[in-house]
Amino acid sequence: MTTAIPAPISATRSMPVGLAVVSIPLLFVVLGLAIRYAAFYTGHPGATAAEFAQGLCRWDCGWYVRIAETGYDPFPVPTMINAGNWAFFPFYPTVIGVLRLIFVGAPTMVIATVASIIFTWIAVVVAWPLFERNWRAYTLYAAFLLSGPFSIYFTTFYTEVMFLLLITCVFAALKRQNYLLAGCFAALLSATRIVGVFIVFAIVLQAYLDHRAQGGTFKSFLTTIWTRTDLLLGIFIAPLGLFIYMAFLHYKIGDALAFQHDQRAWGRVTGSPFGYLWKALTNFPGSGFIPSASQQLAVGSIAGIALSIWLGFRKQLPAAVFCGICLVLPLFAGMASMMRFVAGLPPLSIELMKLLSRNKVSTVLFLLLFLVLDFEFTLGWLGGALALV
Amino acid sequence: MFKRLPAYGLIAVFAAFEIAVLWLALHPDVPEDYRAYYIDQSTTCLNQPVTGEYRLGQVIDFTASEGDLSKPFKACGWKGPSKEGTDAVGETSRLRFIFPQTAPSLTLQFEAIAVDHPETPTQTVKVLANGVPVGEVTIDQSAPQNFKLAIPAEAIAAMPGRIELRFDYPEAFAPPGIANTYKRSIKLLWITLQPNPA
Repeated sequence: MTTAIPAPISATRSMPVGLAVVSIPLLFVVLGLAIRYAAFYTGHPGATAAEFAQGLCRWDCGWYVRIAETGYDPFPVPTMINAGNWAFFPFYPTVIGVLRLIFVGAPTMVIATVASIIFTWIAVVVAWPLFERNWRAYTLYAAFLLSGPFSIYFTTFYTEVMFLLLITCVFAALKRQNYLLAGCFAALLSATRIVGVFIVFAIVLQAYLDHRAQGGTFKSFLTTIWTRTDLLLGIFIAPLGLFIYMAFLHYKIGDALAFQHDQRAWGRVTGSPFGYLWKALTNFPGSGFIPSASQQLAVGSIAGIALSIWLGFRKQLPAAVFCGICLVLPLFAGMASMMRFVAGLPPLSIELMKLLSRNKVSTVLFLLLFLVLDFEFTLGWLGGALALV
Repeated sequence: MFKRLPAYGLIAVFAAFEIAVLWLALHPDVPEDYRAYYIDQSTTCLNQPVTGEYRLGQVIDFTASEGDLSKPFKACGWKGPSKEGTDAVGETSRLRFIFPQTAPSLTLQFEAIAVDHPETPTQTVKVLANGVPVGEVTIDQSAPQNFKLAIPAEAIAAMPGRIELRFDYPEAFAPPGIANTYKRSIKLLWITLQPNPA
């Protein structure tokens, strides 16, 4: 199956490429902020910037704030609850914790909100080489992340911000066949979310595909990999973030797998992903035609898996494998947070934006739709829409 | 080959570190309560270090009418309080009472109601004090019911000045897909340990 890729579209005749790459997401930084503030303002007239930042901190955000401010819980947890904060991976809260030491006195959520917006902006800029000079898709991608329906995930204190940035960095490094650099970003990624460690499969697969492209075979890949110290180092560095966190947990509470064992306190039960999807799809709303939160999550999950398969068809196997793992693994524990997990996978959203921006009309229409949905989804977030959690 | 030696050295260091951490992961060094709840999953009740400071005869309110007065006693397996009482969660709950007085015999009194659930009209609750069986009661959903159980002398002698109450809920229920740590059974409204006259 082949799909025609739109011909590269030149940026502007007057603006240098670099400036356009940096400026386009900056425009959506401002637009997104204005839209989300407007949504927040409807329920909180006269809200200050600090109140706005704090007001958007919902659900898991509070856990990240506490880790950034006071670190990880000992055992027993001082608040005498079963759920320790060990389930939340350390890299992004640590970054915010360090920023707190620099910007002494500033509220954590103000620091985190500004940092998240900057990191997401950087993530968009870093993704530029992955767009093959497709300006329309790039513009739509910037709008999607910074002022689109799920912008809330990338502009408040959620680990998705750093996950997005680091995945983009890994794939940008792989595009340049720099496996060592990809491994270094992967190490940070594996300390950001548990599924981040599986990026190591994408690195190995990409190295193999590059080897094949240069006329090598599977056998010669296996025999020469031992001499490729850049690749070997990348592979062994990639999971270091996870292993360092595990070593820390063993030192802190005596259980290197505390992040996994802690799931019991959230009542998660391991089951079949198909079973969970079917149950969610058939969980019809009590009244009306708006799909239930479970149905929305199921549709989001299926769309994410379909996009992963589509990536495979598009010969982006490393990204397809990584995204597939990142979506299927959490499904073993149910539908919780699946919308966030799908939206936080840049290979999927980049490919989706390429599909949505096939012509000027569709680009403009989806751009406008993203802006409208940014407002609506922010209201939903503030109103406790379960599908967004 | 020799140019690559530092790289191979680094790879060996990383590999050794990762293997060492995997070994640690397989050999957790944790307290018994942690192991039972998180690792072995042999209990739904994670024992918390509540003070349990108590005066014999004191009635502890488990409704939200006066805030959470029951917090110092709830060692594990409780959620709430609400106006209707404090929900037992999981398959077992524990309460801790530590008191300065001595009493040769004690009577446990409490009021509870079964959680509304058409498929489970009644809940059986097995009560143990300091590990010694105290009795078994059946609680229905109609209205709060009072229960009075004598604490065996051997239970009082086992831990002077301390009563660790354990409630087991063999008929606790949870919707499909929800872990046994979230099972529901009864709501407790109040409880007291009354010293019996000598």
